[in-house]
Amino acid sequence: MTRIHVVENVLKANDTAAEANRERLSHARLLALNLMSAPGSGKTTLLEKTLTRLGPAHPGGVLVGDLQTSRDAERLAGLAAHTTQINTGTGCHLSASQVAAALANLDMDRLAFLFIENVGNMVCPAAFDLGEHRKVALLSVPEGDDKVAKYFTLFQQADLVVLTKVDLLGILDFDLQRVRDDLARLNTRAPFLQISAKTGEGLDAWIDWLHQQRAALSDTRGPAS
Amino acid sequence: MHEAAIAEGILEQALIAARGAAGTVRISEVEVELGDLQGVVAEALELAFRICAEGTPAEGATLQLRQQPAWARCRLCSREFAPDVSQYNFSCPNCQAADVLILRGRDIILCSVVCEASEGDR
Repeated sequence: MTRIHVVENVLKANDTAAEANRERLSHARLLALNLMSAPGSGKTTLLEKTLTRLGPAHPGGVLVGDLQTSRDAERLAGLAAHTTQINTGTGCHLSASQVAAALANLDMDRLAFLFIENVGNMVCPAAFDLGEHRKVALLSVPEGDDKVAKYFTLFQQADLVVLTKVDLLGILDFDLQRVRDDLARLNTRAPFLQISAKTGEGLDAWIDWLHQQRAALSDTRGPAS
Repeated sequence: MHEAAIAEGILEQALIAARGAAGTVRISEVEVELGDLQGVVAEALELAFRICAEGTPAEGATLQLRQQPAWARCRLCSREFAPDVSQYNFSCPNCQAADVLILRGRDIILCSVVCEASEGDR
């Protein structure tokens, strides 16, 4: 009987693929964002508004993850410089290898931003690094003010927390302070933005944040290449 | 969540490791460290492992699970502390900021495997 010491990270395969993705994206100065939330939080609608605002001066590409249908990709196709739909079948989150395959078909030099719209799911996506530069966690007003605490892993890891559909704040019972209190104990690093894609409230701050993050990406690479 | 995929990952690594011990006919024990922040359910992992190990040299192996507690460093004041995961509290006891670098608690590590050689070997 022999005990063999291994000490191997079982999740290594995804992490290795993610690091490779991140290297490629950084090299192309393409800011990649992993948008994660429950289904129906308004990710696709926000992306529609975002791509329109960014315009041809800052081309945005989109990778959309869904179990089935290409509806989201179809909605975004006219607005994004590049759209890829990844259908996961029964997979409840995107993986780094799926993103790697999509990157192979992307002309990265043409894009300023890559929005990865993850599968609607507040649990699993948080555990799978895709190689993104920034994680964006979204929560919509109709979902309720207790979801930050309930799904804290997602919000603790986020680089930005976005509350969407804020045009409904006066209509639905939603305790905004509860969300702020929960974020105060989980994540004080991530800015907290309130957005209504419908009215346009908060969109300026979101666009500004995107540009700041992209600029920060260039800074870490040293002298202009 | 994903205990089946994790079990398959553990099995794959265990079988690779066992090839390093000449004459191994079975793996009797697999020792795994589970990061608290991964939220893996032990019973689900044990069941998943038992199922996927069938028909392999790891069939019937005991899965020894050990906890990897969460440990973090405050990005603002560098204080190291254990986040209170059950209370979803990642705020620094020193400066109250919730801006941490997670040092431990996110990994799933195959620590060791116990291999048994065939009767009569050695």
